[in-house]
Amino acid sequence: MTAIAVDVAAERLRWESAYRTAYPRVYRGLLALGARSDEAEDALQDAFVKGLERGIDRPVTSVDGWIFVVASRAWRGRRIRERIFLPWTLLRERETPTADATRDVLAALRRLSLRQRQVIVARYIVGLAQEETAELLGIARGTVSATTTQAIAALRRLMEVTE
Amino acid sequence: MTTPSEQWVVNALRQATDQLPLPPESRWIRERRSTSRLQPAVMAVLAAMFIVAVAGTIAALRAERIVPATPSEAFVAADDAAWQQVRAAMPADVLVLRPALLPVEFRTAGTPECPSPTASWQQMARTYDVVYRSGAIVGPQSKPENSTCVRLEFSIGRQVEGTVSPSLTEVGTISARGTSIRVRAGTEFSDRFTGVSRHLVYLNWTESGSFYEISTFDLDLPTLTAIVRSLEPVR
Repeated sequence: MTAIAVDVAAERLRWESAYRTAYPRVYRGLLALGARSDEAEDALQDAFVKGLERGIDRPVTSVDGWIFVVASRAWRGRRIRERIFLPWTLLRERETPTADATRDVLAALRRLSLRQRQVIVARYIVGLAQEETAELLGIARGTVSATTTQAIAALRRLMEVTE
Repeated sequence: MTTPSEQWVVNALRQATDQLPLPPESRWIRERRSTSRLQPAVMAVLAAMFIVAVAGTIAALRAERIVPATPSEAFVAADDAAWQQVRAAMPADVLVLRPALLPVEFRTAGTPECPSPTASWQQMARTYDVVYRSGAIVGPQSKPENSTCVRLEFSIGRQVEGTVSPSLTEVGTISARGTSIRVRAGTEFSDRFTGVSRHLVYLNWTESGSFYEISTFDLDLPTLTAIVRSLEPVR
């Protein structure tokens, strides 16, 4: 095996290992954001391939965070395309809640704004620090803090109502 | 710092998400689409026919592949808008470089599935990107909704060049912009949607304190050279 081939294999293994470590948290985070399981799987696979193509040696704050942001972007892109191109009746069928809706806290989470969901998922499911969340989502640290507080308060209110 | 009641919400959220079942690990990575249940011999014949057809088409188009990037009013308007968006977003001292020549497949205003060109800020890379897309590819085994767009991407940023992944290998250089620009290619992979084998082509350079990247799939060196040498500042 040539030196280049060894480097390529090592790089791939390193990326795959990081990806597999991050997968459970990010997958569940995408479901919590509102993705269907097939959408979350596809989005994560997109992120894996993108990471392979672009290399992970670019300066990134957190591999988990990078995968989360890239995958959630891929999911939202697909969802937007579906909203534009799928007949409304089909879309309604596809969005029918499944067993997830029975979990109050996740049902409540899905009633928050997208930004609030992103911040909550990034902070508490993916496990990013406030600074990482701010950098990856392209918002100020203060905004992360304020959004977190508002979102948790809203979640608590929603859960009290549904209890 | 969270209060006990806030912590209760966070704990409930974590418990709920921990219970969400994961897909089997075999599905976590799917770089190669499982192709079909057809016999290997049939697949080989189909693949050979496909290669011959593609090769014939490429040969027919190669002579006039590179053309001025001004084909239709719709494209010109979209192209101007994209580059003016970048110009307006970047500091005045950053040279925004726009290609005057583009491969013929990127001269269209795109489709709803593959809008072209588009400009966007990439938070992760801290670059402004203009992406040209050509028509969606739908492989013989894939569904229309799983189509993928062929891309030609220009990135401009102020950051210092990041480390290039060792998975990219140097395949040539282009003398342009007063420097020697290294062209790198990724390992060939099978597009998971279309089943078509592709490889990433990537080149970058710094100029007047700014960072420039071009990334695409499968373009040959003469085409890339023509594109890079046609770059002109956006005023």
